[in-house]
Amino acid sequence: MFITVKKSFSILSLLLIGQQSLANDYKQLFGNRYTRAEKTAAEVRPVIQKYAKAFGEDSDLMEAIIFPELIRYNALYDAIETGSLIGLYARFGYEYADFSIGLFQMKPTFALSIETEVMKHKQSRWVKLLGFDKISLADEPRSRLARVDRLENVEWQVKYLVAMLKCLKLKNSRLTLTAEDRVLFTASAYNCGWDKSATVIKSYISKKHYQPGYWEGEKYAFADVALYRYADKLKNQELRIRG
Amino acid sequence: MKPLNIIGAAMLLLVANTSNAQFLNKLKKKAEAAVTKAVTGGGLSAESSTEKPEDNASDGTPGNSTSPAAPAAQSTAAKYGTVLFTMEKGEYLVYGELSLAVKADGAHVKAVTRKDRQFYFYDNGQRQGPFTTPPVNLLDEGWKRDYEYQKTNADEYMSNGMSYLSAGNLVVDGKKYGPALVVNAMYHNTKIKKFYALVTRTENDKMGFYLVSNQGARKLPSIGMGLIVSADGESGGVIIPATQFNAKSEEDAYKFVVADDTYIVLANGKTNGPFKYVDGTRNSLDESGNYIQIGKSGPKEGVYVNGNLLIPFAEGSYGQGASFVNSNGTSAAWFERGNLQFTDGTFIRGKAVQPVLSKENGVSYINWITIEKGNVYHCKKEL
Repeated sequence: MFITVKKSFSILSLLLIGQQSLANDYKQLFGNRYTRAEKTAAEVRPVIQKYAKAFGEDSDLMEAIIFPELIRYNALYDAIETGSLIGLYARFGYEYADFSIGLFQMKPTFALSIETEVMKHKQSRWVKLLGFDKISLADEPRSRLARVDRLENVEWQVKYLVAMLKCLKLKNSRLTLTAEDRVLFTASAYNCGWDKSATVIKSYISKKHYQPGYWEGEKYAFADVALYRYADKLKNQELRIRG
Repeated sequence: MKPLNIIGAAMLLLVANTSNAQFLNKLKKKAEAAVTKAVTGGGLSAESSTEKPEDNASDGTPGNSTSPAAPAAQSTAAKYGTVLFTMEKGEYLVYGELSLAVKADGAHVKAVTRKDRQFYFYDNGQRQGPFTTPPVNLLDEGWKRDYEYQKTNADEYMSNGMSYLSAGNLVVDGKKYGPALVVNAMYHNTKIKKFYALVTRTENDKMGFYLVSNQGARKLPSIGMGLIVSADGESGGVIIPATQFNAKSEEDAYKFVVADDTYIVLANGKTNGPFKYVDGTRNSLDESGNYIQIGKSGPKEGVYVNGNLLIPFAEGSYGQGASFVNSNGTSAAWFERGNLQFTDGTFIRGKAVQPVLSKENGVSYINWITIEKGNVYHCKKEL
C-alpha cells in the first residue's frame, strides 16, 4: 500500500495541503463551472461513499480525482456527436473513437485497461463484488457497446474508479507517499493513465494539460485541481464539525 | 486537540515543507508543450493499422444481433451512398474527446484525417495536406464542441420578459407591440430579428393572455405551459393543456389535469392538437411547426410527431438520440448510437455518422457518413 497517512486531518494539515494550490484559487477561477460541479458531486456522493465504505477506499479522494472531470462535464448530451463516436467505437474499436463519456469522462481504453488488469485478480473477493468477473473482454461490437453502457452508468463509473484505485495500489505497493502526494499521484494516474510507471505518473503531476473549457483558454495541472478540491472539501467538513 | 493529533500535525508540517520544496522544484520545470492529444483524442498511442471486422448491418426491420455476420447482399453504403474518398491503410478520421473532425451538410462532407502523425483535410473527396497539426480550422464553424454548459438554441434566446416592458407596452427592437401588464415569457432572437412573447393584458378588469410575435398578437384561451420555439427560431407557439384550451369556465381555465392532452397554438395562426400525453422529456417544435415528442417509457417509447407514433424504438434505443422529421410531419428518422431508424422500417445498424437534414426542392433528405473498408461514403435517403 502506498498510503501512509490516511485520515484525521486537522485544520492545520489542511492549510498545509492548501499551500500547494494557493497559486490558483480554482473556485474563483472556474466560477460557475466549479459551483455546478459541486452540485453534481453532491448528487453522486452517496454512490461514491457506498462503494468507498464497502471497498475500504477514501471517498474524499475518489471525489477529488473525478472533480476536474465534473467541472468539464456537459450535462447536455450531444446525440449526433456522441452517437457517431459510439457507433464508430462499437464497429471498429478504439482506434476510431476513444472518446470521453459519462460524468467521470472515462474512455473506453481506460475501461478496457481496468477490465484486463482486474482479470489477473479475478479470484479476489473485491473483483467479484464489483462484478468485473462477469464482463466480456471479447473485441467485438456487442462487448464494446456493453462497455459504453457501463461508462454511461454512474454506479459502474464508481466501480471502475474503485477498481482503478485497487490496481494502482497493487502496481505501486512499495511507493511511499505523503497525504498530499497521494492525492496528486492518484489524480495524475487517473488523468494520464493508471498503468503508466510511477515515474511517468509523477512527471505528469505538474503538467498543465487540463482545460475546464477544453478548446481555448489557459491550461492547468489536473492533479493540482484535484488537490485543491480535496483540501477545499475537507476544510468545509472541518468547519462544519467545528461550527 | 489531543496530544497525538498535535504530534501528527507537527509531523505533517515537516513532511509538507519537504514536499513543498519538491513541488516548487517541479513548478520550475517548463510545462510540456501543448500536445495534439486534445484534438486527436486519446487514440494517438494506438497506431495500429489493422481494421477490425465491421458489424455487417442489414437494412430492413430491426434485428437483435450485433455480432459480425455474413456480409449483406448489398451494403448500406452501396445502397444509399457514394464514395467520397478512400483512406489509406493506417489513416483514421481525427476525433476529439467529444466530437469527430467531420462536418456534413446536404452538399459537403469535410473531414480531417491522420496518418503517420500527419494530418489531411478532405472536402468532398479533395485532399489537402499533409499538415503538421490537425487543420480543424478548415472545417465549418461550430464543429467543435466545448465543455461549456450548452443551452439549446431556443433556450439561448429566452430572456427576462419584464425588461421588454416600457410604459405599459411591450417594446421589442424599438417597436411597440401593444399593452402588456406582465410579459410571462420572452424569446428574442436578435440574429434573425424574431421574437415570441407570452403576454398578460388587462381587459375589462379581467386577465387576457396573448402570444405576441413579429406576426402580430394572438389571443389565447389560457396562459398555458409556456413558450415553445424551434431551434432555428422560425416557428414558435404556446403549449396549452386541453382542459384549459377547451375551458368553458374560469375554473377550467386554471385547472391542471395530470397527463392532459395538449394543443400547440402557433404564432402563424395555426393550432395543432390535441396531442396525447407522452412521457418524454424532450418535446420540441421543428422549423416547420411539427410538434415532436420523444416517448421514453412504457408503451409509448418512440418518436411522436404531431401526436402520431412515427417510429417505435427498436431494441438498443434509449431515447437519447436525435430526430429528423420531414416538412409535413409524416416521415421521420431517429439516430442513436450510430443506428438510424426510419418510419418506413429501414434500420441501419451502427453505421451512421453525423446525420443531418437537408432539403431539395421542398423534399426532405437525411444525409449521413458511413465508412466501409476504408471508403468514406456520403449516404442520403428521402424522408
